[in-house]
Amino acid sequence: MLRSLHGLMESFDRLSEAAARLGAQRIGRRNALSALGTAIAGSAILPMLPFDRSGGAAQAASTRDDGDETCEYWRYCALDGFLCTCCGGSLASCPPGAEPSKVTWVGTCQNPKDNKAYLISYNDCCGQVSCGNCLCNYNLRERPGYRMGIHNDINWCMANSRGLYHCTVAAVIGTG
Amino acid sequence: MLRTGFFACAFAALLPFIASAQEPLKPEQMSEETIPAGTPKLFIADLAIEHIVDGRVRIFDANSMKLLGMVGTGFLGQIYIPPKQDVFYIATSYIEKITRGKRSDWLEVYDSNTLHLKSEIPIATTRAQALNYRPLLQGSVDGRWIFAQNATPATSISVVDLNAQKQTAEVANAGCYGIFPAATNGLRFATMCGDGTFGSYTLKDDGSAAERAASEPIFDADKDALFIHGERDANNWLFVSFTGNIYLVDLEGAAAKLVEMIEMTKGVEGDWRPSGYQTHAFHQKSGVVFVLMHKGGTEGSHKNPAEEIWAYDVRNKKLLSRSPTTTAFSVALGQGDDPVVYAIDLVGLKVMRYTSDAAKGYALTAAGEQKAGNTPIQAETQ
Repeated sequence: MLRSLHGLMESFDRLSEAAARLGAQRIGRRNALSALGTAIAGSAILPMLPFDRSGGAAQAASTRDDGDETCEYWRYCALDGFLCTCCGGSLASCPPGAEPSKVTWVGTCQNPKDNKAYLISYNDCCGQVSCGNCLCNYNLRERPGYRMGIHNDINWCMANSRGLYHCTVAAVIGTG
Repeated sequence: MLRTGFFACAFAALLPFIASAQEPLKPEQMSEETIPAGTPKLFIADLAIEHIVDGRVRIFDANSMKLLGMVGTGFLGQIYIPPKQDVFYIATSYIEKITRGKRSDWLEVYDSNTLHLKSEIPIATTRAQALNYRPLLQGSVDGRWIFAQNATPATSISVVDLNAQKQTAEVANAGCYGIFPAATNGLRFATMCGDGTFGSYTLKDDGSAAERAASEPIFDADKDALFIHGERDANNWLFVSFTGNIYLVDLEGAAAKLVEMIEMTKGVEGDWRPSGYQTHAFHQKSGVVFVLMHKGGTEGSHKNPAEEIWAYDVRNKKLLSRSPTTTAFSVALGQGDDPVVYAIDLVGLKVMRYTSDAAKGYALTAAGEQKAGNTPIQAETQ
């Protein structure tokens, strides 16, 4: 997956690449996914509804890694939103005062350190004002809302009683 | 002599003040502007991601690009700008204490000239809180019904009767997204589905329920997904796909039918593909569609910034011109003989205005630009 991402980026000329990176700082909203596991991407099961992982996300330990405040960090291959690592949270925990979203989706990203694919959960963190830092937007295998489970232009805090979008985490929850 | 002349000049300079001191000052009257009826307007929806509960739609003079006014759109509100009318609609959410408390959702009706709220109708709090996409809030051809897309994330559509000023139904469109009203039947609309079909709904006369009919598969969401944005081409709808195909779909009947699929990028080198949010705009009179394009397209590049705007003749299946643009993500146009094209630069946070020339294949010439806020996504003309 990361190879695909690199291929995408290398295909840009200098101007477009700069624009895309700027765009990643500006654009979009959204959490959610894009980079689906191959098994999921190949399926035609519809509708693909997000998993409810509210319990699992709440139990995730605080996690940090080198480079996790940049859009190009490997876990963000399918993330669209403000990075919680830039907002007082970590890769797997929400900043103080914000709670993980109840619904979301998983992506599959390749860790360059071991070249293995991992399942990533892109929960939004909810109930605080917009963080505003580190807005990223990657869309591998993202689709319009007719495949809602892999759509990233919508507020995934939608099922929380505290529905305000704050930022997005990228927790490893399995292997791809 | 010199001295006399100096005093004469000084006296002359004071004359207006002496005169004004003798007459009472007439205070200026405070007032409120109104946009003159008939002013061509450009609406730009800004979801304001850095303060997301406080979005707004800006209204510009479509010719001069001067800012005429703005209206708040709440928390990820959607806009619907009906053509040839003096109203527009916002569907949005409010949280009681801004960041916490009870959520309520409303369909708001605004006067396009005074920008005053005319009425507000409570709607289901399942409304999709999404980026601004035209198909997420639409109106029927007869002006009676408004349709709003919902997501919990299970999807459904709220039906609002503007005559009765109330929501009459919430119809499921599971696995589907977006609303595409029929051109000849106010009770009919369609939705686009992830299995490649379209679902067509026909409302009861009172809007309380709808019958649904599914089409045969029309596209492949894995191999050649359709962007959700659609443009009317007379009684058909015109969509573009991730890989650069045009799909003309007839949504008038009880069930949708594919009219034609056109390979727009065939024979063009550079792996050019459509991209963005509001990906294309169709000029009815000429049959030309303007499409945002980027080169080196591949899986995942469908929201890359556009580098060119292509003018493609849908009737004759011919690429007429390719005009450079700057990091464009959304496009709209006016319907004059030589259409004016508006493109949103989401990196530069501005809207760009282009004139086109039919004699040159509708090639574009820059003709003004204006700042467009924090997160401008959707452009509409009225």
